[in-house]
Amino acid sequence: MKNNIRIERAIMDITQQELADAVGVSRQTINSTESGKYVPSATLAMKIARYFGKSVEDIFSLEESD
Amino acid sequence: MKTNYLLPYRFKRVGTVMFIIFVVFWILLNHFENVLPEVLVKVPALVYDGLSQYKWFGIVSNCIYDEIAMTGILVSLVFMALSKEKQEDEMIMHIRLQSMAWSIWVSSFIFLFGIIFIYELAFIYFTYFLFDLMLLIFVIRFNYQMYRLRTR
Repeated sequence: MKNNIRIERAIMDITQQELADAVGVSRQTINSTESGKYVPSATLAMKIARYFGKSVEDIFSLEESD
Repeated sequence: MKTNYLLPYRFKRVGTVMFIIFVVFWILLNHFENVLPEVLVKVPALVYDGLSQYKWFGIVSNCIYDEIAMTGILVSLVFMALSKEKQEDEMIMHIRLQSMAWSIWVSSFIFLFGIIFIYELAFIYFTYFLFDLMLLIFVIRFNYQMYRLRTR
């Protein structure tokens, strides 16, 4: 699953730690999610999307292999 | 929130200290004779050896140091294995599950190795700590994965 969290973060000019605190996870979880090493739960995906004021599908998208 | 069956974070540290103490205790008991005076206690037994055949439900006279050491090692490993991280989240839960699966694989191979290559009394000693070994492998694997994650 792809995501554009890094881009959204850049637009809002916030750090991984700030996003992590806002959605209640560790910074490492945001880091791993951004780099595609970890696929978040639906709950976390929705929290992240809500934080950016967008829908989940604006942030996350399926890949061919999914 | 769903139940996660985990103890608070402080149990991790308590478990680590207890583990060191009880492992030292176990080594003292088994490798140095007469460090402690033998204390025989009458204890209830579910099954015990009646030499020719097993006996059920009785009272046996037993030196309980090894029971104390083994209980201590088991409890401390459970504390280390099943306590939360400082900041617990879903990815850590995922890493924990992966590490548990890894630990079951590795300890099963070690058990298999023991079944095939270890015999007689040595095998009995080998089986003493098989469950503890699985927990210990899990603790090492999980903490290694967490360390790698933090330093990424």
